[in-house]
Amino acid sequence: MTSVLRLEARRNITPLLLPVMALLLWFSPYGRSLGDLALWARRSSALQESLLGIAPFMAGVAAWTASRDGRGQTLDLLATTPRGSWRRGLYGWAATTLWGLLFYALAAALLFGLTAREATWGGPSWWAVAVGAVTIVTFSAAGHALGVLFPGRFVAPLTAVGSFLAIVVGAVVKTQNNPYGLVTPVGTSIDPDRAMFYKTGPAEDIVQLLFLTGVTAVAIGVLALPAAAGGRWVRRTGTALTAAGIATAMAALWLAGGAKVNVNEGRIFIPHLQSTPADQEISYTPVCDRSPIPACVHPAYRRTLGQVAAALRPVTVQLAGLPGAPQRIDLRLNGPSTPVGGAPPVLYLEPPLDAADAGEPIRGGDAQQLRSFLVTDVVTAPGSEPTAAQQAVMLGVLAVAGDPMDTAVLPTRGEPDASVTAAARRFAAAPAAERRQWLGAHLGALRAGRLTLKDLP
Amino acid sequence: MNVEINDLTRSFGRKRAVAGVDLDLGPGVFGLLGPNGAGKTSLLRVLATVLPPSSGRLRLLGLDPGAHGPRREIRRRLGYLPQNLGYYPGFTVCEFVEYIALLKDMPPRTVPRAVAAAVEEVGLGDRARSKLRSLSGGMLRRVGIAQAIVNEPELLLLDEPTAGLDPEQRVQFRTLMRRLGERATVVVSTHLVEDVGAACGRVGLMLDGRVVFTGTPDELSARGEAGGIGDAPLERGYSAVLAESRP
Amino acid sequence: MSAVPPFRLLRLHLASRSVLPALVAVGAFALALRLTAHWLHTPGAWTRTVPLITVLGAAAVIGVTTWNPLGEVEGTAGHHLPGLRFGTVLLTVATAAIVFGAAAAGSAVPGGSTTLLRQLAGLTGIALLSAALLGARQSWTVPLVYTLVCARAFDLGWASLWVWPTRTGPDTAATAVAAGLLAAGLGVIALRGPRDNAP
Repeated sequence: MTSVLRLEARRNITPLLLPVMALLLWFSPYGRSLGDLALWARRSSALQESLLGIAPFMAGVAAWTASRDGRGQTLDLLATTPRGSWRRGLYGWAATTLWGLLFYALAAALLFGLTAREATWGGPSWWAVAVGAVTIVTFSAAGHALGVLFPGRFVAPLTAVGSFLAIVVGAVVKTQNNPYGLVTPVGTSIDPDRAMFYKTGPAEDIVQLLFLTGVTAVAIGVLALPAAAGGRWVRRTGTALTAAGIATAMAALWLAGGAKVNVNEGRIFIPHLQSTPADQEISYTPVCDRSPIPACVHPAYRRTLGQVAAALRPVTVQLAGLPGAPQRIDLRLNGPSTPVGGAPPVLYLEPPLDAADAGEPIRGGDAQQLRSFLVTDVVTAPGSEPTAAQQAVMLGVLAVAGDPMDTAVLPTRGEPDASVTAAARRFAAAPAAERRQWLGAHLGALRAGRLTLKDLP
Repeated sequence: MNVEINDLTRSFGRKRAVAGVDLDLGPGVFGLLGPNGAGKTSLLRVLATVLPPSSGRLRLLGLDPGAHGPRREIRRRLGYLPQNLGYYPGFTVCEFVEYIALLKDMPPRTVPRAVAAAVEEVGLGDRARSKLRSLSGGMLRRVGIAQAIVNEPELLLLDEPTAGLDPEQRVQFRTLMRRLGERATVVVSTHLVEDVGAACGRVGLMLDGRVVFTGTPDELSARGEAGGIGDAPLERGYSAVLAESRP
Repeated sequence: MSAVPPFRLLRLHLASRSVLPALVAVGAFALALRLTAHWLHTPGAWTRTVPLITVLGAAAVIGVTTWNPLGEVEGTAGHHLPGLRFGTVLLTVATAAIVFGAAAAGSAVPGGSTTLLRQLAGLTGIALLSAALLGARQSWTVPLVYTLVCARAFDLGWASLWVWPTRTGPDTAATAVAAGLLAAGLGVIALRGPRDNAP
């Protein structure tokens, strides 16, 4: 009955709300992500977060459309038509849902189209798109069911606001590391940045799809149970849908209930859907610059490479070629703490993801922090408290690089002695060739902690 | 016979709205008269398969509406105009009639022409694309008639069809009813005895859920010759029968 | 014929607006606030949004109660309507304020009862103004949009007066805006009623 569906679609009120929903998209993480660096994981996550603005409206509109016959007093008239109430109502629901899906599809197409032009690695998360689409169907179905069952003046606002509350409460549950919150489609537990370095898999998406599908089936199935809904086959269909929906939703809750969630670290493990809780790295070929000590970043962050290299260069020019100095600096999350003396010596640093994600230039505090991390990892051994000599050299190298003499950058407990800053100034004031010669001869001993301030030039 | 009713009752709680009605109706126009609360609308709603009877035997178009399959078939061949017609304000005249036509399982190919014909038949051709919210009460009533006749029903049930129509439109409507009654069973529930007199071949009078008179309009008029209240013979006959039937 | 006692007239008017079911819905939202209150000690954008949504629910319901089911008949019936409309809305808002105040008492609602009641007043004002503009049964759409924007404002740390619900605690400017919205909404609904829509 495409004719009825066309009629319902033409007269549906959803199109009237689309401009409002587009405005809400602009305010949501979706809109904000368009100004940030084009990272597929982050933008796919933003698309899913935009459901917070879409789903309540879909539920409210569906409830409004479904309660139309009660409001318009057409129940008697429509009861005389051959099609039972269940099948009749599905057209209105389908029209509302199709408009919502069209809007979502356009939003996804726009976001992914812009991302495809700018992104330098990876691809869209189709699981996120699927979850979003099913979310729209689910909230529309729930609204439709409530509108049919309670066709009063309050059903549309209560459904819309109730949906909004349910989504946000679910997100709160998720942020409390409660595994049952995983069924909520909004507020992903996975850190989108981490998703570029470690395989995250679709486990959370699968749980959400199962739960949402179950709720949809129950919402539509329940309406087919009364006698007025239709004939025997309609009621059997309703019974089957309701039973299957309950089973599916319960299965999703069971899967979620066994999960381990750590929102702070952006990690989840769902035992029956994932084989191991251990992180599986995603292999990629980093992109590097041609500095004396090349700086390398994840290909998704290719556009930040120049800024990263520029931030590190004032230090790398001092250290390049020295015995024991790293031959490459690799910026990645949770990189192994490789001693610089390893072969080939690669130094791993945490990338400045906040600035990079926001598309902001890496300068100022972020650049200073990168340089201080680099100097610390070169001059000190991992896990050890820096000696006075190490502190002085670190401060001195950073001062030569142009950073202010700020002892706060030192990874020490408590304020260093005044003699440290004095030694650092002397080191920085020494001629470049003398500093380099001294570092070449003493870097290993300095790193091993065998030198004192008296040994500095 | 398109309508066969035998000892039909319909109760709402303790109130018996239809209290044992017997009727057999074939093609033609049957007028249903009666005071407020007589049970006319309840009887019509039972015939329209909106409500099941509480007891008694009912066959419509030769089928038993109690079973799902036959009931669907009856509804495909039925037209119904309720007393309080609901509508969707955002729909246009054509869209509303088209919607009902499609729900009645009319072949989609035939719907546009049937809708146009029905809308023309009720004199709303020039308002076919107007939104329902912009129409007057009388025009909305005519839209209601249009949706009832769009599928050329074999059983047409009209509850107060001329409410809100001006005299000219009422004359046109009576002509329409007579034409439809040539091949279909038309049951018209109304307070307007002149409509009954002008268009109906047979008339029934209901009181307290019972049919207290069936016959031709002339026979009803004759009952008023002995004494009755009213300005016209049919009115006098109407009031005389009611007076005789009241306890 | 004796005059209808004013109390009876008000009672009938309240029944025509489905005020009792509306207050049940308001109570349900206040209960939801109470039940979720134990999560609200953890700071975050999501936890700050929950109380605002419960208040939105109450405001949306109050906006919808202004719908007139009797159409033109009521408008031609007499001169009592402005007072009845004003009294109905005031009664529902006052009851909602008491219920939400009780629900928030002793809980960790960010900003406390002051913030909550200010949000209730302002969002109800927006709902009433929307009812006058769009119709009573569509009046929930504008407050919903606004609340979604405020939810985003929590996330981004906005505190401008344009998103006054995000401000917590005693705040003269935000209180003035909320009070102004409520007063404007009350005035418009009392004098003109909601925009008349077909069923």
